Amino acid sequence: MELEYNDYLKNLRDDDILEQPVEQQETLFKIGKIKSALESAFDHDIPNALASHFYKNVQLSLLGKLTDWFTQGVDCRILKAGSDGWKKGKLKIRVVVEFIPDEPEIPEYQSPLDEIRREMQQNS
Amino acid sequence: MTIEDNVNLKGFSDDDVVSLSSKLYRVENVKISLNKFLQSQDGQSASYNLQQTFKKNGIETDAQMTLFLCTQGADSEILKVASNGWKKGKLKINVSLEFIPDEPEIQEKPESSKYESPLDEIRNHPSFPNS
Repeated sequence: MELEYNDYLKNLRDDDILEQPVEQQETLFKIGKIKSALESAFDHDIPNALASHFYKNVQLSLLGKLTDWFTQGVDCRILKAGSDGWKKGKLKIRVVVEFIPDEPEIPEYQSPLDEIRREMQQNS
Repeated sequence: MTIEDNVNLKGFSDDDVVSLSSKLYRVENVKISLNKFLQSQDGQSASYNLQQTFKKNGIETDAQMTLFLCTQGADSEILKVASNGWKKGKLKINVSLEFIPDEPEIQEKPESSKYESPLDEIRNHPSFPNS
């Protein structure tokens, strides 16, 4: 299943490297491999596990295509507390894979005006 | 044991009720259940299944890594091939529960809309001569 990635991950190439401590050892993975493993997980394993869990936990039977929960959503109706009726729509589990840098990125592409601004500051 | 709220709700709230295949559920309970799915480590949990899938795809991880991936984020470093160093951060699977209405909400026009012409106030003033 295709997954949504945040901007940082979207801009990575498949051969960029991710390092993770695994059992206290620094382990290296190729981003491409992590991405395809995650996508594979959401094809069957995760949706099936979720269906099983929801059934046991809140007696919620997930009918139809399980991956629909993660893609277009499933038909439902919502009754909002304090409203005057049921609202039709889709319930969806939105999954976004993110890499959140500890320190914010310094933008690589600065405005072309920055150079002029710098010169002006120097000359003033 | 309190389960921390990992899952955001979009388009609805805990107080609402959802009807799925003609059965009723409190949104709050669906959310709590989804949180539990993400935060536990038993055979039906997200993290366990993620670990198994990773293994099948040749990626050896440990239970803690996949658990963190599904919750607060797993400490990682990324090395971009064409860059000048490692970047530290957190890799995370961000999960939210969304309600997407079939029809866009019809906005009720509020009494004092920002978009009304500022002349309306003048036009409606009692002292304004009516043409």
